Amino acid sequence: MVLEQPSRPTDDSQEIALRVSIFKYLIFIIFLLLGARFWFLQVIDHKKYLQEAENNRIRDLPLPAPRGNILDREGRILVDSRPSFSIVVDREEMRNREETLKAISENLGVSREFVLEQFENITPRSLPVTIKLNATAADRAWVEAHQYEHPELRVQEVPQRKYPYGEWMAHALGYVGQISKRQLELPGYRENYKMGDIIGQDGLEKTYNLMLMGKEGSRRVIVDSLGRIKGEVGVIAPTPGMDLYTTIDLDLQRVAEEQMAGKKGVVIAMDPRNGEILAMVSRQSFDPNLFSQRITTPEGKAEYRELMADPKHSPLYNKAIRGTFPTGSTWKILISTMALELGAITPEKSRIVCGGGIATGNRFVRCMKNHGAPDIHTAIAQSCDGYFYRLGLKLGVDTINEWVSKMGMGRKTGIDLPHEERGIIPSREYKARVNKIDPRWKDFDTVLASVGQGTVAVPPLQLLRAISGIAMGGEFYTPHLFKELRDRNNKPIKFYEDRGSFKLPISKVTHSVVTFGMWGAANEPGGTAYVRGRLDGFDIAGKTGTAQVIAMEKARGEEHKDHGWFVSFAPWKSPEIAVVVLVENAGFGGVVAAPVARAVYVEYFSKKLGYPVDKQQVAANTNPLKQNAVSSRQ
Amino acid sequence: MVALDRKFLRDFDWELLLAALMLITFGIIEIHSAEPQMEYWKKQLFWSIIALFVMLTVALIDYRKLHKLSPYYYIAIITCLVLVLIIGKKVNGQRAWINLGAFDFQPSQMARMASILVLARMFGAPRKGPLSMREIVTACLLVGLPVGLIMLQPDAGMALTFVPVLAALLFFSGIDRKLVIYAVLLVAVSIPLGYYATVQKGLFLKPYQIERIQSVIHPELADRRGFGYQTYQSMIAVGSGGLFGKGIGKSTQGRLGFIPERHNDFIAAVASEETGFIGSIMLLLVYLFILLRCIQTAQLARDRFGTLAILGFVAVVFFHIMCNVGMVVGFLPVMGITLPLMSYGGSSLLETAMGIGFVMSVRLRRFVN
Repeated sequence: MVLEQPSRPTDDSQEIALRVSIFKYLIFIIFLLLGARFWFLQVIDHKKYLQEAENNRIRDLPLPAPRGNILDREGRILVDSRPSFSIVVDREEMRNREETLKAISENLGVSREFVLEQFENITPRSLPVTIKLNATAADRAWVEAHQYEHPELRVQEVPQRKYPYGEWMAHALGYVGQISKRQLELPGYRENYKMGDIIGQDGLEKTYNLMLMGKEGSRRVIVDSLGRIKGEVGVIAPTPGMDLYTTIDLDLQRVAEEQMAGKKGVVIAMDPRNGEILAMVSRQSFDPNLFSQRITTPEGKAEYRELMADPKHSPLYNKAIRGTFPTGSTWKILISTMALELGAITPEKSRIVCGGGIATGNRFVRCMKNHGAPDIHTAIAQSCDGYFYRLGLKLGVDTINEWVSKMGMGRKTGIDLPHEERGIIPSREYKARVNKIDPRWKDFDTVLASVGQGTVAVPPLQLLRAISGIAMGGEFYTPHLFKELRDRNNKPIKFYEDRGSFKLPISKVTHSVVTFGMWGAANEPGGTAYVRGRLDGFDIAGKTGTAQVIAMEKARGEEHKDHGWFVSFAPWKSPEIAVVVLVENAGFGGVVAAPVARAVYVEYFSKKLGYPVDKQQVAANTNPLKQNAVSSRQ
Repeated sequence: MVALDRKFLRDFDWELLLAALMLITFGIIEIHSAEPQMEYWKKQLFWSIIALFVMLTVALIDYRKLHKLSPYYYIAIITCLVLVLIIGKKVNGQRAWINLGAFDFQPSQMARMASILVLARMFGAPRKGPLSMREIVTACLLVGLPVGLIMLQPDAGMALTFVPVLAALLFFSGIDRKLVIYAVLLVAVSIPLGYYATVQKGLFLKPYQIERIQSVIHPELADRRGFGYQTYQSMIAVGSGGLFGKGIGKSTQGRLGFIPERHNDFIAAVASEETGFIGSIMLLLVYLFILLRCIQTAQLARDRFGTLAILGFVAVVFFHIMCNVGMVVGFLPVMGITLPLMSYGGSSLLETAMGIGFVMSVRLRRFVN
C-alpha cells in the first residue's frame, strides 16, 4: 500500500462532510448550554451567590456581655462574676475533625467523647462550641501558639458566675447554666436567646435573666478560607447586664443560715409593711457554683446526680415556696381571725370548752392537755386544740375554705421566683377528688382542718404572708426580692412596682384580739413560745405550731417526728419585721422553731439600734397588759 | 520552510493567532489575579513566549514532514511514559513528571498529539468504505497503550482525555454508523447505571471521587472541608460576579483562597468572577471561534492526514473546554482537566500551541501547487 503519500479526501464514502457538520452542531449545543448556565449563575441567581460570597468572607465573633451582679439591700455583693477563659472550637474552620479531636485530647486533656458530645449539643454549625472551661495559662498558651495549624481553636474570655456565699441563699439567688435545646423551643425563649447562651435557670437569676444578661456584642472580621482573620470590619460593643439590688439583708440571712445549719427546714424574714423579703433559707441547700463552674466535669456531674437522687426532696428545691407542709397550730390564727370577723365568737363571749379533745365519728381527737374552757386569748397563747376543734366545727369547712382563701392561702403569692406552689387548703371538693374510698367530707376532716392538719399543706411563704397581712390589720403585700436595678454606673434604672397586693377588711377589734393573743404566746408565762421565743422589750408576737407528720401512735424514729413551726412579727403594735420558721422532723415548734426566729429578731433590732439587744430591757417599753388592749380574761 | 512573502501574509491565519494570543494574555492576567503573590504568572509568561515560538515554528514547517515522523514521535513518547513510571517524581500521589534540571516535563501531555498523529497517519491513507474491525482494533491499541501507561501513574483525568482522540479519529475516519449509534446508546445507559453503582452503592470509585459527584447534584450541602467543596465555591465565585464582574484584580473568592487550584483547574472561575457574564460569554465566543476556525481549516486541508489530525486536535480541545468550564459552573464533578491556553501549566501550553501551529501549517499549505 502506498502509505507514504497523503491523499486528498476526494471520495465521500466516509461521509466526512456530514460528520463534521454533526460535530459542529454538538459544539454549538454544548456552548449554548454553558452560556445558559452562566446566565443562570451570574444573572438570575446572582444575588444568592453574592450573599454566599459575603458569608464566605465575613465572620462575626461574639463579644460576651458581662452579667450584672446581684447585691443585698445595702449594696453588698451576693453574686458576681470572675473572669475565666474557655477554649472554643469554630467548627466551620475545622478542616479535619480527627486531627482536631486528637490535638484537643493530647494537648488540652479533653476526651474525644466529651468534645463530640458538645458538638452534638450545639446544632447550627456556625456557633462556637466550648470544650474546656477554666482553661489554664498553659492551655491558653498552647492554643495561641498553634493558631496556624488549628485556626479552629480559639481562646474566649468568659465571665464565670461566682457565688461567694455558696449554699447560703442558693435558692433565692438561683444559678446559671447553658440553655438547653428544649428550652429554646419554648415561647419567650426563642426570641431572646440562642444556642450556647448562659442563662439563669432558677431563682432570681432566672426571673431577671434578661436584665442581668445584657446583650452580646460582636466583632465583625474578614476571614480567608482557612479561617484566619485578615481584617476587622466593625465592632458592636456588648451591653453589660444591669445590677440587681435585692431586699435581702445579708446580716439577717447570715443569722438565719447559721441557726439552720445541720437542720432541715425553712426560714423567711419579711417586712410586713411592703413584702420585702429580708432573708430566705431553705435547707437542705446546694452550692450554685456547681452549675457555673463545675457542671461539665465528671465530678460536677456526679455532684448533680447526688442532688437529684431523691427527686421529690431534692436540695435544689426551694422549700420556702415549693415545699408544702401541714401548718399545724399556726393555722389557728387564721381561724381566730375569721371567727371574730363573722361573730362566731366575740371578744366578750369567746369561751369554748377544751375537753382535752373532741369525740367525732368514732374517734377521739386529743388536745395536748385539758385547758378547761379558755377564752380566745388563752386559746391562742397556749395553743388549745380542743377550743379550735369546736370552733372549727362551728364555722364549717366551707367558711374556713372561703376565709383562708381570702387571706391568700391556696394561691401563689406572686413572689418573683420560679416554681412557686399553690398548696392545698381544706375543701370538700379536694377530699372528693383524692380520697376515692371515702370521698365525703366529715366532721373529723373539719376538726383536723381547724388545726392545720389533714387537708392543709401549704408553702411557708403563704403562711407568712397571711400572718403578716393580719398583723398589718388587713394589708396583704406581695412578697418580693427585687428592690431596684442599677446600670454599671450605679444609676438606678428601675424600682420595684407593686403588683397583686390586696386588702381584706379586718376590724380593729379582731386585729387587737388576735395580735394580743399572739403577743401572749411569746410573752406570757404559759405561752407556748414564752420560754424560747421571748425577747424582752421587743414585743415579739407569734404562734407556734407542731405539725404531725404521722399520727402520734405510729410515730417511730426521726423522720416521723413532728415539724416545728413558729410564725411571728415584731414589734406587736407596729410591725416592722415578720419571720416564719419551719424545722422539719424536730419536735415542738415552741422548742425548736421559736429560738431560730428569736435570733433573727435579735440581729434585726441590734442592727437597728446599734447595740446588741439580747437580754437588754428597753426602758420605754410598755406592758401591753396595762394598755387598753382588749382583754379576754373574764 | 515557507517563504515569508506576501503570499504568506495573505494565507497565514492571523485571526487564529490573535484569538490564541488573547486567551494566553487573559490567562496570564487571571493567574496573576488569582495568585498575585506567587510566581505562577511569571512562569506562565515565560512559557507563553516559548509556546509562541514553538507555535510559529511548527506553523512554518511543512506538516507533511510530521506525517513521516509521527511513528518515531509516538515511540519516543511511549518510552518517556515508561520512563516516568520509573524515574518520575511523585506529585500529589501521581508519578507524572520527569525532572529535567530547570523544569519539569509531563510526557502524558505530549502523548495525545503523538496518538493523534499516528492515528491520523493510519487513517489518512487512501481508503474506501467504513473502518474494518482490524482497523478499529488497531486504533484502540494505539490509544490504549499510552492510556494504560498513564493509568499506572495513576492519572485518571489525563487518561480520560484520550477518549475524544479515539472517538474523533474513529468517527471522522468513517466508522460504521451503526457502531456510532451503539456507542452513543452505551454512554447514555451507562451514565445512570454508573451513577447508581458508584455513588449509591459505592463501587469502583474512591470516596473522594464520590463526594465530588455528589456535590454537583447538591452543591450547597458540600462539606466545606471536603472534596466537593470546590464545586460550590466555584459556583459562588462565578455567580457573585454578576453581569459585569467584580473587575480585574478584584476577585474576592479567588483572592481569599476560597477556590482551591484557582490558578490552573479553576482559572475560569476567577476569570468569570472578575469579568461577569459579559466576560464569560466573550470567553466562550473566543474559544468557539478557535474551534470553528480549526474545523474550517480541516475542511480546507489538501489531504486526509491533515484533516484528521486537526479534527483530533479540535476534539481534544473541545473536550477540555467542555469539562473544565462544565466543572467550574457545577455541571460536572471536579476532574482535574485544565482549560487550554489559560490554565497554568507549561506542558499544556506547549501542546496546545503545537496543535495550533499544526493547524496554521495545514492552512498555509492548503493550496495544491
